[in-house]
Amino acid sequence: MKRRPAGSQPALRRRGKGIGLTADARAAYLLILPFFTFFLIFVLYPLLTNFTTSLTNENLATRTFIGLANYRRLLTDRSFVRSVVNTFVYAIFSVGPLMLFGFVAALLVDGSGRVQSAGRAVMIFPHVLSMVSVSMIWLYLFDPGSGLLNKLLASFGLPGSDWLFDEKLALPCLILVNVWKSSGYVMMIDLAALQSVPPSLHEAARVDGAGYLSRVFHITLPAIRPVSYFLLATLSIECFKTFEQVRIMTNGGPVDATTTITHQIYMRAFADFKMGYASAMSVVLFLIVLTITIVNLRAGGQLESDRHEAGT
Amino acid sequence: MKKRLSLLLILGLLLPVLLTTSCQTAEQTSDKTVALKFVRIGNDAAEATYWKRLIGDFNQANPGIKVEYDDAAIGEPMETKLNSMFSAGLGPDIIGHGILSVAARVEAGHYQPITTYFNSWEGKDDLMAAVLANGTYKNEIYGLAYSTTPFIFAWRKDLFSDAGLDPEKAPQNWEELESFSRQLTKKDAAGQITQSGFAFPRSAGNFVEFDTLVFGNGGLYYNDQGEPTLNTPDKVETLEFLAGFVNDVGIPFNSNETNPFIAGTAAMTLINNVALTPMLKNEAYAGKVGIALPPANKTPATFSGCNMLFVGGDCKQPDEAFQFIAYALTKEEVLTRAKELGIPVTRQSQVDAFIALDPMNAVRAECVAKGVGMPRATWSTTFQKIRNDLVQQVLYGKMNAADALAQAQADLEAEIAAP
Repeated sequence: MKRRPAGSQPALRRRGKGIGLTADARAAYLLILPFFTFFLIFVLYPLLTNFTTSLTNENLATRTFIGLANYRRLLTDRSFVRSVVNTFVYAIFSVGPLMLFGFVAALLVDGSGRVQSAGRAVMIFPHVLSMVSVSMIWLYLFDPGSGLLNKLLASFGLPGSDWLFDEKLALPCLILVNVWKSSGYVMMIDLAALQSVPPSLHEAARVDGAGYLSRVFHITLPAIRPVSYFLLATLSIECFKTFEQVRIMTNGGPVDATTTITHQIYMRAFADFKMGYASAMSVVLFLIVLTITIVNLRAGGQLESDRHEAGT
Repeated sequence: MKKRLSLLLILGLLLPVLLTTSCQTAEQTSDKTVALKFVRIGNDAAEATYWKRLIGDFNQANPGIKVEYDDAAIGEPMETKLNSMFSAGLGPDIIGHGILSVAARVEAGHYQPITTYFNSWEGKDDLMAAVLANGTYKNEIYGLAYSTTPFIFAWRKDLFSDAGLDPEKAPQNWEELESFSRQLTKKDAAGQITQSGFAFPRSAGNFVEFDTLVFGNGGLYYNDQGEPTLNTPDKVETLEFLAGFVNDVGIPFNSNETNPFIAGTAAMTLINNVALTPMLKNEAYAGKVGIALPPANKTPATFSGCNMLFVGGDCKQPDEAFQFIAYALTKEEVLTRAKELGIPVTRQSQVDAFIALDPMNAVRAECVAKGVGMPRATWSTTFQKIRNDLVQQVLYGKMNAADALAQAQADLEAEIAAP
């Protein structure tokens, strides 16, 4: 087998007048071609088209360039402003409990006993259901007239509630459904991370007299930090994209109490035909998600480099 | 090896596309018959079965034409389907859709005018004038009605008797509606409503229950120039009337979900005629349900939706498309729909035969005759959302009726003026 001379280009090689590619490089490019073709056609092109559409009044009948008018209008659109607030509230109050419950559940089911196996199955069950099915189930549970929750409260002599029809309770109800459904996913990822922590670290700490909680805080949590950042980023993105349960359970109501950015995009695009305006909303959502992702990655990367510098 | 694998992978990815394209080409060239795609609003099984039977009969009677059936649920699913099809340049040839769609889709070029065809149609003088108006826009006819969906007032006679009310007499006006509602409402020890006196939705995809009361108070949503008129005294009065009692007598529900009246936990409601049909056919409720024109404050009126058949903007064979529309609107088919689906007739000559089918049909026919539909304007869909919001603002006590209506009017005008 021939060895390349030191310092030579691995993939590019001068062939006659032009720059050619080695057979290996051509094969490599061909292998990544399907992904990049898919990326260009189904991700980058729609992204750019969406941005150009956001600068027009596209409504399926006309399409005229109107500059930043759609973006200016967003600032005074009460429903959109409310949807941004709702989406942030939904994300903050979903991600926090999800991270906490998922981690605690992972600690509880981390083991090979029957109870732990059963616990893992029970926890993961809601996650494998589609959000549409979950929403339909909870819709019946929350029904003020014939729902199980009010019947349960009544059996204890407690007054019922209007749940999804109560302006103050509707969004917390949706958050509860999300936490119930997604905790199993967080548990599964955390469990995989927990099992990758070297047992020797725990044994050494135990020998040094560290208690259970002390080991969780000083060994487990720092060891699974990269996974926690991954979860933080992916859960945040998912929360900002939330749509199904809003559409099915409340359709944004009552009085916009549960409308989210994605719900507003859907309503503007498909109920009002205002594609240009909906595209402007999409661009705003894209920028929010992009910012959150960058902040997450930066924070995660910074902590990792701090860790390396500290030698931990 | 890698190169071959890569080529295989690319071919594998392209194969479905190539196969689909070749199949489509084969279908277009080998089939000489005229294929027409029909998309109908609504995905209920009973009506779908009816249309599939009708299409089968039509295809058999017209060997050169093949109509293909498709449908979509009411609301966004239908709009999404149509928008996707038209965006791809593959809009349906025949479309069954409602009043709300007329102006926006005519302006978007999604419907073709059929005035010329209509003028030579045998049933042109027989179609009810109010129904014909629903499909007319800017002096051109675009849609012909195949179904009307009036909102009717329904009450439980047995619960009326239990409450000491005359079981055969529905409330005649708003005062009676409120007083009957309060009399019929039952609560448990914790104060929770267990029997709703009057089921009125707290949220809705399209709050036409509110429109029914607005029309019954002499109100309309647009003036002679077609401009929106939300902020008028009749609507202030309607909202104040509603806000004054519905929360005290009703279990909250969304109009897209099961009405408590259908679930058996309400004594009175305003409901779509077709939605009430299963309850009327249920033996358990035999003789216990009455229907009437909704109680009004000033003008006897109700909301009446209307579904029509349109020739799609992308249709290349409008002659054949109208041939199908005419087939679906023959006297025989109009009466068959009334028998099988309980849909009020749209042809004047069939009214007597329709009433003879069922004593309740007289009420249904009256509701169609006194029915008012959604505004036929390009702002209809926006109006729907703003009207829904304003009703909720008042029912939830966020704003008073006058302020909510003033804001709604301003919002709608701003939406219309928006670029």
